[in-house]
Amino acid sequence: MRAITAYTKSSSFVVSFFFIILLMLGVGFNTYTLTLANDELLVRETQAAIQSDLGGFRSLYNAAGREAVLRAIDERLDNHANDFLYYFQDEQENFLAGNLASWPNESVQSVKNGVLEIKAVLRDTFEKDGSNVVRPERSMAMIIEFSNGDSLLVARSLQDIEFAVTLAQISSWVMIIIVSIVAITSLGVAYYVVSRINKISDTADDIISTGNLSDRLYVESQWDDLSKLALVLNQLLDKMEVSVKAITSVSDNIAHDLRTPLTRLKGHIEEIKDERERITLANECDNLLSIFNSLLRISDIENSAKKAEFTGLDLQDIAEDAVDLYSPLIEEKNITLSFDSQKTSEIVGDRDLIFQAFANVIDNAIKFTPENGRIDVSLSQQHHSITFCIDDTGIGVDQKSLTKLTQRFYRADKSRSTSGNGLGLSLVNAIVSLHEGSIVFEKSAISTSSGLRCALTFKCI
Amino acid sequence: MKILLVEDEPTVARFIQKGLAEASHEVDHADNGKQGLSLALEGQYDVIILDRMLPQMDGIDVLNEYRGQGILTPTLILSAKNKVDDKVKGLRAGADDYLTKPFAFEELLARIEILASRLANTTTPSNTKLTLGDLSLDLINRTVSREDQVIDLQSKEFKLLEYLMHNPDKIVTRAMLLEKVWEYNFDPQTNVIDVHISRLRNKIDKGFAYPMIETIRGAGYTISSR
Repeated sequence: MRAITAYTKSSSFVVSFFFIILLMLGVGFNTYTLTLANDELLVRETQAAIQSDLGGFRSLYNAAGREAVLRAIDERLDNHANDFLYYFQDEQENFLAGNLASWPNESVQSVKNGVLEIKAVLRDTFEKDGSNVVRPERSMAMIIEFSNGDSLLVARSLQDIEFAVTLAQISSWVMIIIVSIVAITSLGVAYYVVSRINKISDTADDIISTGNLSDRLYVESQWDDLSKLALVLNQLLDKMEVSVKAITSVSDNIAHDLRTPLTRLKGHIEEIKDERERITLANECDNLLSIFNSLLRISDIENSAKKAEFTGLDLQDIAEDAVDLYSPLIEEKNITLSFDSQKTSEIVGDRDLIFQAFANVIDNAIKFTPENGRIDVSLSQQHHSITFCIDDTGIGVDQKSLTKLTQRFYRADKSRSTSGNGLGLSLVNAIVSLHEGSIVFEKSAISTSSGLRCALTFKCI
Repeated sequence: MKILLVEDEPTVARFIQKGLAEASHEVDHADNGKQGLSLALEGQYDVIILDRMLPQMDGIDVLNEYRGQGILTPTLILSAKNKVDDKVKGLRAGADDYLTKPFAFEELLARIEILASRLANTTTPSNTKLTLGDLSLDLINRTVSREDQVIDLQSKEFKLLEYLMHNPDKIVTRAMLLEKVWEYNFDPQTNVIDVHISRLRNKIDKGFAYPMIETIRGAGYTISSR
């Protein structure tokens, strides 16, 4: 099985999503506050400032006349902290005081409530350059006309405000870009991690399913954590390979080495005069030999990865042949056999081994079903799995022993009196695992009192 | 019988050599593919036992080589694993029989004795009728009769008898019957073949002058006319 089936299920993806959401919330909040402090608000503030300034001048004019206003303007202009713009003129539009170059006439736009938007050019810069090369500043202005026809224009540059707004906009864009980069990078890192983990788990999976312990995880580099993990796992595999090889060779050697003396022993037994004794001893000897052969065969199947030699198989044919082979035994015990098989899809496998598996479970059922009993064999397909199922009315197996049936040399208490070496179902289990199938034992569906059901399930193509 | 054994595993080789010598056969042993090939090319053997995996030269290549040079000595291939592919490749390359390790020595002995006799059989044209004593089997009409009495056999029983009659007086093992009659290479673990044989016996031996099918304990069965 894959370690991480979907990217959304990986912890690194979840973490990066969490961080991205947090960052986005931050950016959203930032943008929201900046939008609140927008043009409108600042303009309104400017307008209020101009209005209050104008109010001051009006009272000054009413109280002390033009001279006082002139003085006040000059005073303000001397003050460097002042950011207001003034233009004071008389009725004939003669310049009286102020820091603006001229009375604005062109490009005056009325905003609302007597507020004008003008392009202001400062008197100093205008005089210095002698032209309006200097870019006029967008400003907000209001005009007051005094009783003697003098008029005063008070303006305030919007440049600072505009600058602040632009700055805010730029900073929020920068934030968005940074967040996007962070998002992309973290998703990239998560993707990399997930694909690396999957690569490791795929290889591990491959090793599990093929039993090929000589396979190793791919190590891309030496610096990251996953590569270090892969290196450690590879060392583990090295160790396991050596141990498994040692075990296999030991058991193979034992079987081989014991087989030769056993064969010799058999030769000696043949020379025994007493026939009864000779037959008993020879049978025992044959039993031992067959146990060794079965053990060697099971370990051979368990350790092999002969998938390359698998071919497409029709399970129905094999099941029919197996039932056919055992039918005389079934008839001999007067057992009622029902064989129900459907046309099934092909599976990929080894014909002889599948036959062996079917034969073993049928053989088992016959062995443990009393005379006049019943055995139901069925082969059915559901979607992509094919099940070979065999129910009997035999002695059955305790609930707690069901899972032990495939263990080597396991024999349920009730079955000790029957023949057999306790290896038949281990062999079936080894064969089924090799085919990536499953084996399940249950209480038989036929009879409520006893009986066993054995179901072998294979995946079809 | 003169037998060539090409096997690199010393334990297995010793085991086979000893057994064959006890059965009074003459054995030459080669422990690698090249040596095996040069011995096989001398063409003086009755049977060659060839391991599949050999140092220097693969068993299949050895077989291909001497078959290519016209050496038709009956050959039995031994293989460590019963890989389907190995078996197909071996038989396609011209092997006459195939046995997977581990095997019982009786099995090997029975097989090579049948292989050796096959060479003699091939010289006679293939019969449509097999006869052994008073038992005859018609391969075309698929009928069996003994003492001119027609015996009704089921198809598997017919195939069983046919195989036995192809190898009269030879030991035929249970595994060989499974392989040739049921066409599966497997270990039955129980006496299922014995039951089939006893049914066959009931039909062809019961009520006749003498039993033709005999059980050879620990090995298999043999059919003979006397």
